[in-house]
Amino acid sequence: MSRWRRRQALEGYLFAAPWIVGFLTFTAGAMAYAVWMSFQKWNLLTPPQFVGLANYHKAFARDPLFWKSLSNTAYYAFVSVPMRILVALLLATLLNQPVRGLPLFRTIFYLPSVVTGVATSMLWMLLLNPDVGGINYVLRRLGVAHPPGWLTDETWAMPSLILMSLWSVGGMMLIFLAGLQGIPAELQDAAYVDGAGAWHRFRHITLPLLTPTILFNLVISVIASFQVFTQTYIMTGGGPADATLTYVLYLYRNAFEFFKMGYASALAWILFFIILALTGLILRSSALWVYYEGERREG
Amino acid sequence: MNPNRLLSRKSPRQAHTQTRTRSRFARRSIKTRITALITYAALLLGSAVFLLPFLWMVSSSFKSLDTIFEYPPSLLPTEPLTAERDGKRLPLAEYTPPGGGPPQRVLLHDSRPGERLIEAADAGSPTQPRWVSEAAVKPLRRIRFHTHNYAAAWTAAPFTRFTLNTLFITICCILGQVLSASLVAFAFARLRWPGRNLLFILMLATMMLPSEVTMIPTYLIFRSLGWIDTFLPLIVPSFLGGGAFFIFLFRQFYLTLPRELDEAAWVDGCSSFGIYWHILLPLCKPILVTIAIFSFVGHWNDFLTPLIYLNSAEHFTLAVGLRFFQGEYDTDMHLLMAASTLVLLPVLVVFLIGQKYFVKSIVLSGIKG
Amino acid sequence: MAASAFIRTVPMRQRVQACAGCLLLLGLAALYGGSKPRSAAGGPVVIRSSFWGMAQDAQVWQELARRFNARQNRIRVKLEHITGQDYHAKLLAMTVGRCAPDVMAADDEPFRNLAINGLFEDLTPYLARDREFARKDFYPPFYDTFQVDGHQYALPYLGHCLLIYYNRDQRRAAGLSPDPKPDWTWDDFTHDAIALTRDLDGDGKTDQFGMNQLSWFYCLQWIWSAGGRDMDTAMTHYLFDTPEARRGFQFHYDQIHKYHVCPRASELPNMNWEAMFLTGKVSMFFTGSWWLVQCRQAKNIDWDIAPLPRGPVTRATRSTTEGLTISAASRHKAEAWEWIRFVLSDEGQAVFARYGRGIPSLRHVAWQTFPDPKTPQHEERFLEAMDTYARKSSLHKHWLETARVFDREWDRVLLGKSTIDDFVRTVVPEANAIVRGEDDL
Repeated sequence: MSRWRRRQALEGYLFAAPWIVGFLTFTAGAMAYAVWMSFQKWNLLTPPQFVGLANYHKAFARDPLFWKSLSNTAYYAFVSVPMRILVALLLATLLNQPVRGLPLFRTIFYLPSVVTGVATSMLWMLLLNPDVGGINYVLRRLGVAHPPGWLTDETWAMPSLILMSLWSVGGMMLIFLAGLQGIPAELQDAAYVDGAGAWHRFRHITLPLLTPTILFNLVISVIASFQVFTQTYIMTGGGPADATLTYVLYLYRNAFEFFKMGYASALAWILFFIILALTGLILRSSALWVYYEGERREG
Repeated sequence: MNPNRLLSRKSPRQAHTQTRTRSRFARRSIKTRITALITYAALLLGSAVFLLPFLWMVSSSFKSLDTIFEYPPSLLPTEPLTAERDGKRLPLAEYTPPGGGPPQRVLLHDSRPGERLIEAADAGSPTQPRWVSEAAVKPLRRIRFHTHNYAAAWTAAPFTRFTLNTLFITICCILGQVLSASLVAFAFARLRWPGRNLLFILMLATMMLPSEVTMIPTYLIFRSLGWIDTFLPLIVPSFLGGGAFFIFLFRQFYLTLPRELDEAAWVDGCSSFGIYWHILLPLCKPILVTIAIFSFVGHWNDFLTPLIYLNSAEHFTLAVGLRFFQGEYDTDMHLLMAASTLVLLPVLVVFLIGQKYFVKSIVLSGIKG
Repeated sequence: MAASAFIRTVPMRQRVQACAGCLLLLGLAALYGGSKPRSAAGGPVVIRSSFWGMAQDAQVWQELARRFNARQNRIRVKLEHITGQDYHAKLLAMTVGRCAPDVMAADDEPFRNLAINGLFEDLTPYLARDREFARKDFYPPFYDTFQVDGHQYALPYLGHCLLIYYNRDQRRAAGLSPDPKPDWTWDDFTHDAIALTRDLDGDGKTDQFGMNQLSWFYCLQWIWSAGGRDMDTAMTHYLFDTPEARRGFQFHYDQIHKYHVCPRASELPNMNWEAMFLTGKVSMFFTGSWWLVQCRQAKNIDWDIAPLPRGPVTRATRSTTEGLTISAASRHKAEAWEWIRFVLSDEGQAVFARYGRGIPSLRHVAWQTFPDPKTPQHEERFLEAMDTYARKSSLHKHWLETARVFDREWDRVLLGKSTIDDFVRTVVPEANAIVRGEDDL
């Protein structure tokens, strides 16, 4: 290696050192411990017992709730992620216009992400009330004879949670905003002067330059949505009849309610590989659709 | 008015912006007006929807416990109007005589199926209580803001102490995360070193394992360090990379900045650290602000980590304090909403202040061509 | 290298400021955040005592600790309040980390598994040595909950039982007597519930329901009233499939689906049940003594407490309790016992009663302090229930796990998708398999 290369390699490690140190001290050990736990039968109170791959076997072959919670979670993830990204992008585009009161509007759209979860849950339950809630009121006015039962109905409970997740796009919206801010304005101006319409400008200039941000939001939402937990823990408890039993909720119960820490660890690692595979796919595909202004194409 | 004269009074940068803004929107065509109208309409509609949780929270914070869940829900805190008669507190209502006649104020004494026992409310003209149809009687309500909820919530637990704790932790964490995440991301985005791509995947992978299973081993690690019941488990990880989320975000952002900037600085004799500190970071203002806001919100509202690692009440944070109003069976919703509103205010302030720094990076315009 | 080159570009003053700032921050972090109880030689023994709950619970424990610390110098109690629903998870983390508190408040539902697996100190020898405890009149349902194979692993400090909160205005408006007969039966109850379920504004929709919806766990009193049991005495299998138990479940099923005196799942205004009672949507509300204090905040309704109606065989209600334990790994067990003695003394129990957090576990203290002559409500009915017909449920080792199975299938019953037959036929085998420990992982 040339001197210059060696120096860059050293600098690379130096700059990354905070993370490497943190990883080695805290995370790596914890993850290794979690691997070890997945091969044990352990109730946290008495010494663990080695059981080999039995936990993994149980998940795939003997536990219907494993499949149920996984399918519930996949349903949630595959529907809510594209919807949230679209809504966040739409809002960010809207809030990137020079309208008056922009800081106020941005605050309003970001609010639900920071308002206490209890308030949001309570309000959402009010709105989703099949009988007297606001949403069904509107649906009835629009002529729908039998509006859905939302949280009280097995079929509509998960869609209710998906709908609810749209409220908290404030964070993603902010990231898109930051991404939009990073797009040099004179590119847009040049296109405008050349006679390109708004949609054309958006599709051929803004969107490509926004792809790094889209990639970020996509990867992060996939990772987060497969681990959805709080809403089901607080609002539905996995019901009705396990319709909203998500994977991590089931995992949590196994760990802390059923005293099956070994099994919970196996469940965690199965989820890990699922998410890793999906993320890997997305990152692989990113070479096709993500454009980095600052990427050096190595020969 | 000569536009050039206007411009000459401003700094070149502002003038540049000014010109751009004017050239883009100087012509107020019909199309532009319609677009603006649609934008405003969409924003207002969206705002109404997105404001609801906040409005509900604030309005509930001014209500008494039993009126929060009344149906139909009203944003204004109201309560039944009552008056005293013979030492008893009775609800007031409006009675409309069915045969026509002005509605009068009455006291409600008793009820039986379909009927209410009413008595005229003015003490001046005493009348005998009489039974009338339930349909003709409408109970009266008045607007009342229970501002004492705020005082009651604040004094229910040592919230002042919690605020100081949370402020300290949050400020430390923001500093730590912004600095260390931007530093580490620089390594992933701008430097080439062996194992970089592998470590990048590894870093992302740390977000993929549910924290429920790493909670116990992490607790054991902190226990062996003797950090239980201190702020260190909450603060130190922020200085060690600050989490994969922010590193990833910074890295994506760095990759959108052209390499020519780096190379120009390199040629001028700038070190890697100098490129990082003097060139890239200033260009990252939008993302820096975003991350600072996320970090603030995240640590301000985080209750899980403080719950696990803090034992003594004098170390608790605000998020933990909010849970003082939630029990196994019941919730003091009015106090919880009052406390939550108070806890939310600093977040709003930080957010509004941070908006100022959401400016487009204009420096790039000088580099190309 | 690169770093030093950079540092040289920063003016001296800023360099000093930056260093000072960092040092200050780190120093503050260490000082401010780090304070652990250290028992200095010769100083008082510090014992840690954990509890869960809301602000009011914190006040109770703080007063208890204050009094205890004030009256002697040898022992200092340091309270640890664990908020939220995560008391259990944190306790387990502390146990694995071998830093669990000396005294821990324990909930009855997960109790048995923790006790069997050695988390708690066996208190039987302490009780044997302490004459005073032989004379203490703990309520048997509370006391027995914390007994495993003849050994006592916790002592109850508080408990609850379930009765009916009812709305007297609505009873009068419906043409009933303002209070039900104290010895009312299931038939009386059904009759009243039907009368109290009314469409008040004539729009075809029920605005006021006679009672709230009950979970399977809140149906246990009906099972007992019908002569059935939830489990056998040895807690080896569930007895939900006996005719008596089915009858108990059916009583509530009919209330939902036949008489419509409680809302179906789709008719729920999705407020919590407490709110529905307070706003007059539900006339009779089954809940426990824990709700007395909050219910008293409602100034607008005239309410009282009713005993449970007598079923075909007997009258019954369910009790729950909370207890204090000594950690098996504690190094100050004798001091911990002193603290527990204080909490369970008349003085300690009176503090619980004053804050209205529940029924004191000592019967004589309960009768002295729990009924409130200043209020018109008959809260002494809770104590009458505790004396005569309250029972504890069978909280076996895997209770939390079987509870989830029952929750899931009961949801289907509430939705009208399963009958009681379906429910019982599905859950009993599944639950019994869990109780037998067939899933070995």
